[in-house]
Amino acid sequence: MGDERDLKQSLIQELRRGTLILSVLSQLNEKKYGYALVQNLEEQGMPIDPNTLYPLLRRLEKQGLLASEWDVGESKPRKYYSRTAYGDEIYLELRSQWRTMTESMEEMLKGE
Amino acid sequence: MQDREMMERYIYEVVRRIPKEQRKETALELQELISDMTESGEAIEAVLTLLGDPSEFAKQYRDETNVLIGPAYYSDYMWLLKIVLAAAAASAVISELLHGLIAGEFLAEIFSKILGNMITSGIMVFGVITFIFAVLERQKIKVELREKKKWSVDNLKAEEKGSRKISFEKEISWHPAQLSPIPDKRARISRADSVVSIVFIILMAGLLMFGPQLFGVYIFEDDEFVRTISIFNLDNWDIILPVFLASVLIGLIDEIIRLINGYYCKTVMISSIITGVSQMVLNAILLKGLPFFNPDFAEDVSQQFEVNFVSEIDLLHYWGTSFVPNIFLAVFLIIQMIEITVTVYKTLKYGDER
Repeated sequence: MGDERDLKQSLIQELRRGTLILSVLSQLNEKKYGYALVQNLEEQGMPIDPNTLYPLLRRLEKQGLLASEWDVGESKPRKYYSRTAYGDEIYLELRSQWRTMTESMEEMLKGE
Repeated sequence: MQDREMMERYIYEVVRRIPKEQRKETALELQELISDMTESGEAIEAVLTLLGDPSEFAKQYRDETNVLIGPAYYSDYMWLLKIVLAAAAASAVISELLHGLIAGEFLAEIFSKILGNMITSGIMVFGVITFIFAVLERQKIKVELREKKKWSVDNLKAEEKGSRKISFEKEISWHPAQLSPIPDKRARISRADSVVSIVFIILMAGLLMFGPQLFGVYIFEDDEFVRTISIFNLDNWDIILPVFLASVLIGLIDEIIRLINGYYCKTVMISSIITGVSQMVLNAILLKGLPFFNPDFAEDVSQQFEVNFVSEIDLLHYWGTSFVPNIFLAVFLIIQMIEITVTVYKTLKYGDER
């Protein structure tokens, strides 16, 4: 029984994984710090674990899609992330891919 | 425990598992995250439980490409390691057993020496094999990176002609034309040949390390073992052995490259040429320079047994002269030349361009 549930969980996770980058990119047209992004995504029904999100942000920065800056002006230092111009470009492309894909998927899954 | 203390412990557990250059930044990030989460009303225990096992967290931060020996070589590595460890153990047993029995040592002493040598040679062989495979793994990664770069240049060219728009088709950098042909049957390198060579190399290295005195003439007086007259130059052994082992190591690397490639190709050919040439140089140094053989061997033997090697056809007659090392060197050089020629011929005729 447990195995079956594990399998189901891992399949759902795998399905979600592909959408993570797109959802993160979509929220970073303006600069946000990590935890605000966590809450933001949760509010919109796409919760993502911080231990997945933080390394992902780092990776996207390394790939040049995001830029970060430390804001030390407030009571505690915060790292803010936002999309770069390259990130914008990629985001738009991913979004259009997503739209085509969901359309086709909807069509495919209809009547099941 | 203080909240702050617990947070710092958690951060330390994550950070110590990721590359050094990322540690400081990541620590700051996690500090920010954990304090944000606690400030929103959660207890520190709940927050850290939610973040989960620090080692899992750290794994997400790491590039998973950091492996010493990757899956491509792993099974060859394990397989060869077993064979080579067995060969090293065998050489320790043979050399100590012979030496101990001839010298009339107690069994307990012989066994303890065998055990000692087995451990030493085992660790050494393990280190050498692991090192060779690790280097090959790095080389492979380098080659792969270079191939990718080559392809991105083509991509850039394509981009110049077309629009600047990002197209995801561009990412497909592989073309069926890249498929290398299945190697010709005649280009295969027999695994058995490689193994025989590797075992021989390890046995020889082990014997010359643990019992060079075994190769020689054994002198008994009244059925009592006195000494051996070694054919090797044991006086300078501490200089000769490292040179010999260097030559062995090069040979071993070449054999492993043959083994993991499995057929004649450019890599094998280049490795074979480099190995051949450097072994020729080392052989020349060993035989002519150091010298490898005991120059007093013939004289010692003739004194011991009161015989004279006067016959012109007796090899020992020429022992003290440069004739003997020249003969050996010539034989080695010819063997090396044949080896290189065969490899180059088979590679050019049957092998592929890889």
